[in-house]
Amino acid sequence: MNLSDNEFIRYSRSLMLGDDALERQLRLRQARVLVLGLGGLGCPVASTLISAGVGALTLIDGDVVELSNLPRQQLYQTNDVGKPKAKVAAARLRQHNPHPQLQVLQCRLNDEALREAAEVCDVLVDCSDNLPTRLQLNRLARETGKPLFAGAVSGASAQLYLLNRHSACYQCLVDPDWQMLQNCRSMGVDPALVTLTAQQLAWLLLQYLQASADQIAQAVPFGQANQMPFGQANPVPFGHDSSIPFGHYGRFAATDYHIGFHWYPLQQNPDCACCGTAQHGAF
Amino acid sequence: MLYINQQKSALQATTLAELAEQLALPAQGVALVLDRQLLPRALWAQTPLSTEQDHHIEIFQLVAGG
Repeated sequence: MNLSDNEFIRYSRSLMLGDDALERQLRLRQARVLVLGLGGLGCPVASTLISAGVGALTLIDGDVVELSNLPRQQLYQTNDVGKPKAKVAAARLRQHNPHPQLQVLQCRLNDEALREAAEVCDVLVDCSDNLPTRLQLNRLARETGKPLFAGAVSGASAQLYLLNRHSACYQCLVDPDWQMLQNCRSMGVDPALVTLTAQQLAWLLLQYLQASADQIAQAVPFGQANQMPFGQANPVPFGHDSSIPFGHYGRFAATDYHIGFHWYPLQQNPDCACCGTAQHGAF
Repeated sequence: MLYINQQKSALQATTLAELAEQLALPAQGVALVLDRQLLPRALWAQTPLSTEQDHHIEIFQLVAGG
């Protein structure tokens, strides 16, 4: 397995990033990612993954493009208004990079259809805009054991959560009966902040997808890198000193000298109806 | 001493649930971080607050749009 000449040229700048850059690029080409929701978060996430050279992407969205989407959803153009987002997004992404495989699902999915799409993917990415879909994908991630990378935005707030089979789940934190009043339709959304959030998510996804199983297994747990002896490099991710923050919830904040995401470990609710040990036994 | 969103607070509570009640936090859609740990609401009642040590609490609104 190797890259074609065309791919070598296309990805040449990424291939300069470290001794194992070729292996990382090849791992990315082997990866299949499911992105649910192709709005303000999903457009930049899908675009960055495709540009970087992900192997395959499953795109899911049942909405059509609206004029009010255009300030932040950059895969769509003015003459796309009224067209299905998933189809338009796939066409733009193919124009940008013809190598990755694209699967398009232009509908809201029931559990079984979503499970079929999820089971063949390495990672599930939640870029949706509503609570029922988030809970559905969270449950599916739990049942299939797939890692869940998620972003959430509204108004001037932006949040991320990364969960896997060993961590707490989204339903530990969120009451399924929550009558969510804060969404982009009611509260508006900051176009640059939603794009920044999506790119933070895409960066984390790429770090994860390009790492080897050994690198992930040997990584120092997130938040503990400063306890490592001086000079000892953390093997993952490349060039950075901490691992993927699974089991953490991130919140964008600008405080003192820091502008970015603050990450908090999410404690599991033992009585959680989705992942709690009282319901299903230990995962 | 309690610090809530970086501000000193004069509130006194023995558990997180008691503090949430004093702050009149909404019943849903709120995240509460105690000393860097994000705690599900189900754990608030059993999470004690000590008067012997400082606690740093952050409270924020959860969002779920995209």
